[in-house]
Amino acid sequence: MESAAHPGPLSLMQLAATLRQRLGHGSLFQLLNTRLVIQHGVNLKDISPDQDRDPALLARVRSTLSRMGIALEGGRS
Amino acid sequence: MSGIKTVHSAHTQSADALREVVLALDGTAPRAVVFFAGLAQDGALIGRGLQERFPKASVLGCSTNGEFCERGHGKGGLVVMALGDEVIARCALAMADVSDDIEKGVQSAARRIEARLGESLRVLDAERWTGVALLEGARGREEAINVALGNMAPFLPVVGGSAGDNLSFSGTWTFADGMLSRDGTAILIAEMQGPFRFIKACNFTPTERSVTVTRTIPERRLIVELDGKPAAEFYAQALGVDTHELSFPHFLQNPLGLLIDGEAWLRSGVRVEGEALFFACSVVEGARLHFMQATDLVEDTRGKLARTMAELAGPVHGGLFFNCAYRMLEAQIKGQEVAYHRVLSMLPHAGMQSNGESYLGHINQTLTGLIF
Repeated sequence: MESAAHPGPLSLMQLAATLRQRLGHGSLFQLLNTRLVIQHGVNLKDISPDQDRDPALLARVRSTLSRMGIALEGGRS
Repeated sequence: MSGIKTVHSAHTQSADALREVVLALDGTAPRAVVFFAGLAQDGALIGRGLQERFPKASVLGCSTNGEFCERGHGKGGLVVMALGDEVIARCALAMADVSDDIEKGVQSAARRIEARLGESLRVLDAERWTGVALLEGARGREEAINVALGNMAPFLPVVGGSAGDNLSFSGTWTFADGMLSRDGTAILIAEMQGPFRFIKACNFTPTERSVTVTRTIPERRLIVELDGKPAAEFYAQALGVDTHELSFPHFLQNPLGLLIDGEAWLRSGVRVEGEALFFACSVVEGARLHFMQATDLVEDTRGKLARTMAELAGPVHGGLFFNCAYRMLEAQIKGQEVAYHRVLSMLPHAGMQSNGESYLGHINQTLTGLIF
């Protein structure tokens, strides 16, 4: 659960940075990124300015991560 | 047998095919048995017969568009791979009901597998553990099944293929856990004894030309617009033909592909539907797809198999392959069928000509597999 004081990443760029911090730059991040490219057309290694400004896309990606049990606050569940 | 053993039977009568296979597997004690059979084969009879013969093994199988191993290939027969304790340390399987709520069906199967293994799938070490899935393959649900597999264990890659039905898309069957399902996905989770690698090979390389998918109907696998223009017209113009001239050979030779870290993940067109294009895989709006350039099927496969086998840096027991039926057709059209199967026979293997391929997601026109 994210609190108002810690709303989590506010952009895809921030989300990518958070995931890199949690997962490193190796195979775990790679696996996750491939799933996101396939499911949402967003490559966290190459986020276009349009995608980064798209709140609906950010919400979809966050929802997907949540379904995978990957918390953006408080570590991986 | 403690490694693997493969058997091919050309019998189209299931009782005869089962008898031949069981005889050939005499003296083995597999931990898992994977079978691929023609659509008209009695999958329940074969699966239960193998389970009865090998009661301690996890037995799974599915219908195909053709089945093959290094001992032979054909359509309508039966191919079996028995995997022994030299390859698999332990494993468990379950059938996921994907007839309605796919997420729920896969999660339920995951819970049963976890109960059998006594481990949470989410914490399994992906260096030692892997998954194989035989997906229901006729109803266009592989995207959702792959999403559910990813939700089940996002860091545990599952490789597999869509069951075949002689490319009729009229209905497939899968077998696991003693039951045959026409709406199921068989999931095997295995701890491997040694190193293993996934293969994802397609004989297409991306060109510089790319296009943005601007409108889709994902549940029908339709791309309606490319770069804001009617998709069929855009695609035909790119190929230099009129829209009404677009036919299967154009789609076979000109798939589009996502590009991830320089690697193509193919999306293959099937036919024109109105102004839209029907694809064998849904694509999300906003995705950037590259036009592709074909390379030689046989040589590309040879190179990628050799590289993957070399990565194992040790003895290679074998491979389990899911080969797109489009690749099968390409090999047949170009007279490369024998050469292609000779290349796959660089290692003992078993596989099927599939309705689609899976690795982290649903893919088209690709050879996916597990090499161990």
